[in-house]
Amino acid sequence: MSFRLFASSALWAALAVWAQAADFAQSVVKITVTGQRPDFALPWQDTGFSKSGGSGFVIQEGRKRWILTNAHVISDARFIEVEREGDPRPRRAHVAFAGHDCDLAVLDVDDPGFWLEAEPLKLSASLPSLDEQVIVIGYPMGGNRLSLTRGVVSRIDYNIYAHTAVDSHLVLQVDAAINPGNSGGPVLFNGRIAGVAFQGIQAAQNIGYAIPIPVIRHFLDDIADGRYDGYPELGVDHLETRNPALRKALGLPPARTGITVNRVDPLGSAAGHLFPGDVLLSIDGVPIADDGSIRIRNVPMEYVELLERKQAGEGLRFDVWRSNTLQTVTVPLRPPSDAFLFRQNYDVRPRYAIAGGLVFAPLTRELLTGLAKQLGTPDTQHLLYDWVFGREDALVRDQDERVILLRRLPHPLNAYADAFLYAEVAAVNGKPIRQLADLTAALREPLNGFHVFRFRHRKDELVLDAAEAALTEPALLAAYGVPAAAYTGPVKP
Amino acid sequence: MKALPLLLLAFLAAALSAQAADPAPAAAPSWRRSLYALRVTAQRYDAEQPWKKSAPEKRAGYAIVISSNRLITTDQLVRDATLVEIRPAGSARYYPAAVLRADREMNLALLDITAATLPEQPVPIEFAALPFPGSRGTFVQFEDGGILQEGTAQILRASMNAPAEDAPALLTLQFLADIPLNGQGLPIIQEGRLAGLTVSYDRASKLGLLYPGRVLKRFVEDASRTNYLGMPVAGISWKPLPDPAKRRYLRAPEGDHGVQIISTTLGTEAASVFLPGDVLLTWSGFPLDQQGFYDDPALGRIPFPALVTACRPGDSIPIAFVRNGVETQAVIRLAARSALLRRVPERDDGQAPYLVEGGMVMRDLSGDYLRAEGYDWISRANPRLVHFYLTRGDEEAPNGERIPILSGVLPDSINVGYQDFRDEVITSVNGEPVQSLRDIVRLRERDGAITRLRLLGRDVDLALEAATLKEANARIAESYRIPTLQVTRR
Repeated sequence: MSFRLFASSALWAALAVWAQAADFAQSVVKITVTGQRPDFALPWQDTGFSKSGGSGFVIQEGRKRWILTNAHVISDARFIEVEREGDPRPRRAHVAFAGHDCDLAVLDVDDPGFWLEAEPLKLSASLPSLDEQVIVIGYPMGGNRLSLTRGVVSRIDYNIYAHTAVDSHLVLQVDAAINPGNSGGPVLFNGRIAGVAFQGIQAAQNIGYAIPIPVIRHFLDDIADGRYDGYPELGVDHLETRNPALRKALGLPPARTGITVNRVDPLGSAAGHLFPGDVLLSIDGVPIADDGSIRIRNVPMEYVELLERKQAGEGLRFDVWRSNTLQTVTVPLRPPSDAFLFRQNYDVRPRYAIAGGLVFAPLTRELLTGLAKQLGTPDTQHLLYDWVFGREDALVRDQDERVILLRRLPHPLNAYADAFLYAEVAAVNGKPIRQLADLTAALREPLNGFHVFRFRHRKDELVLDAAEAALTEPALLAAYGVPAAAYTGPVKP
Repeated sequence: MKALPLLLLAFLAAALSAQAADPAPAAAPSWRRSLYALRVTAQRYDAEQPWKKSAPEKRAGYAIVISSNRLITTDQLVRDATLVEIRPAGSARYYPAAVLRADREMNLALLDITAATLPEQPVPIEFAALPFPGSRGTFVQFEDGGILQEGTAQILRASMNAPAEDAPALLTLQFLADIPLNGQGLPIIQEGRLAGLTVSYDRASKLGLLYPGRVLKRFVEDASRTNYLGMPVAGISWKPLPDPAKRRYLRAPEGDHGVQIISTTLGTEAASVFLPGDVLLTWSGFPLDQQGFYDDPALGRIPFPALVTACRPGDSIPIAFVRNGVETQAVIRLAARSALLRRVPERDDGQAPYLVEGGMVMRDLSGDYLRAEGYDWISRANPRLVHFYLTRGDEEAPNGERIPILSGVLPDSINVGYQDFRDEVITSVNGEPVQSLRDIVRLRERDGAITRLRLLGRDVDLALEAATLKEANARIAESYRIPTLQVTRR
């Protein structure tokens, strides 16, 4: 009896799932991408082609329809096709906007006929609560039929978004299976979009992550003006204000709670508005506890949650305890612009400059991870230090980016340059180097017939014969298949 | 004029070398009273909690008698020793020995024994002349049961090797052994004399390194003096200069000799003689090639630092260098390495000074502190501290400047909110800049307590409650079993 009952329930459940999947077949698409990453180690060329896939779904913002998916599904794409289940006509698509910091992107489809048959999914107005049931839909593991799995929300928390390896935002943790190919697919709650499936944990079972509705909303609002600015950075390092002696030293009345500004990042929005020693008592009118948490509708969260909801150009209002007085400070939020966060780069054309077979390039996360094995040697340890402590120790003050000697294209001219590999360029021919363009400019003015390179944290100089370097350059570039001696143009191609 | 004596020396060297290539002479039976097995119990201080000692460790090796009551061995064997014992050949009994002098940079130690307590009078071995590459010697070691076993070591080549990563390079000879060596500190005998002492050995390749007798002799002579100065230092850092473009840029002379001076060490005479970019042509009369090698009459082509370490602190050395195309002769006096005050000392030399206040554990950064992270400490230790060690370690510190750090916080109610801080550089205490633990201790003594602490890269003081600090210190000392909350330099 019990078996039959179970079979009967299972049958009904299967039919229900099938019916729901059929409903979404017009909305959820399979995305096939041919991609090509730039080769940051040989910055004048790309790596090999790769073919990958993901999921996406149709949404409507005002009168405009898009396919919403993950940025990591379409990053570095050369050719994109989308297809619906049962539709034999894949359609060419292209990226309209990509927000790599929040791993979201919207695609446009060239064929207008595609949209006529599409049924946009609606965004949920709120986050589901813990233990509420959600459905994950997509094309996991490259299949051609829609997959639908159920699970519950097991946690709502901040977490690192693996796509850039730097940014943290709110995530929805679910116990439904999220596999490669699910990326970009919808996570539904009560028939509406609660999130976009985007990452999992390899070592863990039944843990998948979705980008929740507040982050999706932030992205869509950001692109509404036709440009993606990204999440503004506040640039404040704080200290919990739990210690009674610290509270006394700050003159903080017993009834007040908040966090103490410990350091203000010169590249963040708070620079010039908030100062070390300020106690942030509230954010946009919401009191901040001594550990940095806030409560909204009785749900505890970190105070940066309210920053997350803001767009560049908006303001963030703080009640601040400063010099024993209560003040209100509004921080205007700037678009993020920080070369020293070392995000993973996508859809970029790497810049470089070559002199005498020596390849110089801005330091990127890709180069740092490529050098990971060598970061434990004295010659490259400074890169690790600058990476971790560059902002705290004010090493970013005199630079817009770090330019390193990336590679030597061997030639008798540069036979003794290996000792300087991966060192950061401080000056060329007596000119300080803030960015790569400074280096190419400095190379136009040799010192007594020599190019003289000085490096940070090095006492020795690298010297090239300038005339010889110029003379050998065409043959040297040709020998190594380098199309141009430099690319210092825009990062975005 | 110099060519004739050099030719004669070379001839003599070749003759000796040919002679030594004959089968090794059998070791005389008296070695049994010249070689002792060494058993050492050692205990290191914990880098993170410097009031604690690690579990005792056992080490075994050898020591050689060089006078009636003195033995020589490696520092590595006796470092941090709590008990040193020697065992004669053929005996199962151990006798106490004391470390008279140990030099970690040279990796050599001199032991003192009470000869009267030994069953047989020890027989000293005299030092031999420098063994020639190509010659052979006998090494002696104990088999099981303390029976003497002899083997043959062929001397392959001379080179400069650092006995440890925190030490300068010393003259060593590479040897190939015919049977496996079973310990450090073994004697290599040539013609009945001590030609060398083994300092490292690889069982797989049977290759090892030994210090020649001349290095040992120098150490023994110096170690017996009351004012032991240790290794000399030239006070320069230099690089080979093979790059033709660089040579033209520095206006180095035509030809293939001379190395580039990169920097000098403040506090040495070299700092007042050289400028970065000078090209050093000769050292002690020997021309240097582009790689910094010279032709040693006895050892052949070898890096010129061998000439430096063969001297003593205070010795004057004639040199020649080129600056902007002009050759200059000068004389520089070598300094003592031990007298140079580094901003980041390499070694803690026993227990590192520390202070625990309100659970905040403070000390000065040292090479030993970083190396406690293990063999891959450069990538494991805090990157900022490693960077300071690598780039600022040899800064001049005439007034005992160091890099004071907050190594960690022992959680207690007095330090809530600060308990995750570790390996932070301390920049000020009680509102005053500090440059060493000594400064911190001084301010604590002046003010009676540390109530404010500023860390590098953070712009707010960590505050401690003065009224409850004394009580908290007592509680922390008891709770974490810290015998004393402050240890200053002995």
